[in-house]
Amino acid sequence: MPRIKPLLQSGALVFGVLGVWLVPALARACPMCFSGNGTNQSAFLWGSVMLMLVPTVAIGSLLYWAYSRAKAIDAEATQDAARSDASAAPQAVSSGGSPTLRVVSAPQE
Amino acid sequence: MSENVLPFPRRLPARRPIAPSAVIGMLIFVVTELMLYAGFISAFTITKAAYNTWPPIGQPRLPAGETLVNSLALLGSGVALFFAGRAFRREPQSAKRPMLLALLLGAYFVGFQGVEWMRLLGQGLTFTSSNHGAFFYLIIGSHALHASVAVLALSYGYFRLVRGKLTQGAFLATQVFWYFVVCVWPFLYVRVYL
Repeated sequence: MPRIKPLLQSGALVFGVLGVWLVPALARACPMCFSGNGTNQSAFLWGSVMLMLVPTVAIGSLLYWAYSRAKAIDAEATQDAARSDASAAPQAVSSGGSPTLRVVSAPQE
Repeated sequence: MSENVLPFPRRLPARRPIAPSAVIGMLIFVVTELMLYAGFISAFTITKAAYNTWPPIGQPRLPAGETLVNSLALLGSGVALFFAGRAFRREPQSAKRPMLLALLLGAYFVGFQGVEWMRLLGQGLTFTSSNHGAFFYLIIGSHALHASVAVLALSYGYFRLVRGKLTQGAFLATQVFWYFVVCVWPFLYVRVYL
């Protein structure tokens, strides 16, 4: 015997979505929309757009700024390290050989 | 057989912060404040759209012309603080004059707003007189509160600078907050006054 409750729930959901889609005037007739005239609907539309855009743009800009700053600082630190390595290498040679790490690659057969 | 020789011990580059903590904290605060103003403007736009005439009948019109002059003072203070920032990076003590100018222009803006409010209260525009009054005092009032706090922060920063104790992080954080106060104002002016 088929289970009735899930079927009814799915049906109600489908009819609800279809109803809003086919008869949009019903969806607009909310008590919050005061009169539902064109100016009011436009105000709701632009208000919603602004409320969505402001956090997206603000947080996005903040994250992008942090990312680009971190990247610039990393590049700067790498350059500094390379510069200090380059200046340390001749000293190592002249002082009779400071400890170095020898990386020996495996012989190719 | 090839051989690569690397210097040993190899030093890893030390991690550096992307900005002083005060600046990052202030930026996060500014983002939340932006949301507050977005909410205010959204609610105001929807409420205003329900009226056929704005301001509502019997309510005074806001002094857009006089406030435009005041807005120029605020924008001027933002420019002065920008130059103060450039001077601070070169030589901190040379930032004193532009920072003082920014402070005085900011204080003028806040003072002028107080005078304007007294006049509007006299004309019958109060917090409870209409939606017009309620939104005006809520939106412009919260901006005035932010501007007052920013003026206090600038004063504190200026006196620290005079004593030679102002750190770069504190200066930048004050600068970020003041730029927020300056940059949000034109949007509020256009939406509320015009």
